[in-house]
Amino acid sequence: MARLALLVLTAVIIGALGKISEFLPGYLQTQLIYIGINIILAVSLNLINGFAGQFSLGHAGFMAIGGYMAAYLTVNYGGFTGPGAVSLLERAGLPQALASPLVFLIAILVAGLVAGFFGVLVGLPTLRLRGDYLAIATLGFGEIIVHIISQIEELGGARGFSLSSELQLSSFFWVYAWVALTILMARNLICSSHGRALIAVREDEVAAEAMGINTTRYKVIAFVMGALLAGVAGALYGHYTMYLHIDDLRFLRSIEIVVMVVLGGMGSIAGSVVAAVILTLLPELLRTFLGVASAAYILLIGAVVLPVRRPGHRLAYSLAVSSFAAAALLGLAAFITRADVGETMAAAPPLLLWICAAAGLLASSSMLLPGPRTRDALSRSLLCLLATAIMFMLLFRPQLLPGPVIELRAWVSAKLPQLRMVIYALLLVVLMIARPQGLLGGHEITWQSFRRLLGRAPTPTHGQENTSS
Amino acid sequence: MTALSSFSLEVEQGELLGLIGPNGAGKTTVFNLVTGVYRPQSGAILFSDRPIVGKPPHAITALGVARTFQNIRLFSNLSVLDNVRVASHHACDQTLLDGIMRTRRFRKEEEEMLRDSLGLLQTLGLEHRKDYIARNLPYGEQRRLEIARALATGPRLLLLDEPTAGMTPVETQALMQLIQKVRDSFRLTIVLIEHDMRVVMGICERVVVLDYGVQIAEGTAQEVRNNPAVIEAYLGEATT
Repeated sequence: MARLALLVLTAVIIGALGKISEFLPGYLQTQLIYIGINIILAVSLNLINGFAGQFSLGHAGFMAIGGYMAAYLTVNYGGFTGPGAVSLLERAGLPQALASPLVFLIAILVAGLVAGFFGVLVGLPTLRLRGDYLAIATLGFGEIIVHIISQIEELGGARGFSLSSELQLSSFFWVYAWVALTILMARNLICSSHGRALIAVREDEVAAEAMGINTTRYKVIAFVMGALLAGVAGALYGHYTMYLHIDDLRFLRSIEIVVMVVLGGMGSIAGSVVAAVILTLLPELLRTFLGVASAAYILLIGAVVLPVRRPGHRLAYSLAVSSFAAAALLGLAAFITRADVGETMAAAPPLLLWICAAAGLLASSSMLLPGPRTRDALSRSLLCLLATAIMFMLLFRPQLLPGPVIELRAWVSAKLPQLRMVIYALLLVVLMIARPQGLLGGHEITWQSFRRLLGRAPTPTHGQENTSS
Repeated sequence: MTALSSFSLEVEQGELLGLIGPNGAGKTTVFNLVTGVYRPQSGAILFSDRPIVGKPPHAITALGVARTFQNIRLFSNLSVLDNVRVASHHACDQTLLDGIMRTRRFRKEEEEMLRDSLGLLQTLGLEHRKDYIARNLPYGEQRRLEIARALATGPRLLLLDEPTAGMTPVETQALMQLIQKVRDSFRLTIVLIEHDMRVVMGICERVVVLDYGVQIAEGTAQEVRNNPAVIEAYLGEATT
């Protein structure tokens, strides 16, 4: 009973958020949808790559299968334009408000199941392969799938598959309902006996077999679940973009998803969510100079401030996290306003100024609080203050900067459209070098971790924590 | 060159058998054959009078054969408790759907598994370490965890591969007593690969000696110890 209530509550919250999102500018609504779809893709791939320890580079193939399958069904049998399932249901007495979502749901489910079936087809033969070899085999499968699809005329052939506007069925609610389901399913799987078996296969296959676990079966299970959810994501994607073309669904797309999983931390659902959000927004954020500066600033504050753990000093850590949050807020503000602080510095929104200053001050003070005060803490604090000062000047008072720097700033601003993806790639490289274990280091965000943060649960003693971070 | 040839062994239910021999004699190969990791080129392996050659390792474990490894193969990044729980997974009834939907059957079984695993940890003296990550345990406890994990599979035959390797005399003594206690309370048959003669003398009821893949002696610990062929095989080997 309580579980049902919780599910209904979640649905209501998602619905409410969806209604709110309708007031946002269209550009932001689109980004939210893409974030949701990427979360589903990243979490589902994490089941295969992170939890089961298999190396799959063909995830976009499953997404393609789901997308095309769902589109084919709704276009040809849906009844949204002409006779079909919806009209059948309506004649049977079901109101249109229910018939349409029901048909869409069926299309999504079928798409997922078909993609899942292909997960078996891909998983079974490749199971004996390890590491790099498995990666190449899955890459191959992904390519085979999309190239076969592009040969099928009923699916649009080489021109791609267009859906008419009545078929834009994906909405905030649909996408995020599936996001919630995906996270729930993944988490329930992992925290069950079957999940432990899956992880054991990753840890040591020989030992897992010796303990009675059918390793083949579990690797296939991982592939099937991952593929199924990717198919769902594909279906949602197709019914939002209204146009499917294999060029968007090739191995480059697979690799983008892999990056999300690795950046977030393999084997952490929360990590995949965080990385999906960041990596969807980051390329957009980098369209303005303010965005680029914010991104660099967030990275710096995060790198300098977050790793410093002062045992027993929760206040310092809270300040550090707040500073990081303030820096992130700056980035978010930059993103939302799409404002570029142009040549007229006076027009700089005071709010951004305050947020930037707050971030810097919080960061530096968190390093200076009583506790093991080392030279390291002092230098970190100074670094934060310096970075904030530079950021301030770069954005709001460039006339204070030396000549060459002003020129550089102007050049970057001007060349930003071309430099955008270079900067993106650079940031990824920096992140991977600075934190190869992933943003969350493979740790999960659970209710337990919140309680620990608030001091209501014991922090793990030495030996209990997984020191892989 | 054969790892094992003309090897014939019959193990009685409930006995504590020692399998000894110089390094490279083929002892672990015997274990790997019995557990299905290797497949014999000729010959038969019967468990409870049923042939098991050709079955995958996980199926043989399900029939009641469990083993530990010469070089510890724990699930290093999992907790002590999870290491043990994983081993009891093969016997559980819950389906994937049960886990995903959190049905009553799932929750009941999880509770049971938790209770049984904690009980096992207590028997092996590891309960206080249940949340520790396996690789953070001291060596002696890791070895004990390996045994706990093997026991969690619910075996009738337990194969221990050098369980006291690297242990201090005190730890070795404690483990010897533990092995006997486990054999008695779980009503197991145990086959032990060992280099430490104190252990062999101390707890093995029967001993089989291998050298270069061939069985060279069999008998009680005392008989085998004085067997000239055995002494010669071990000449040059560091014995305790």
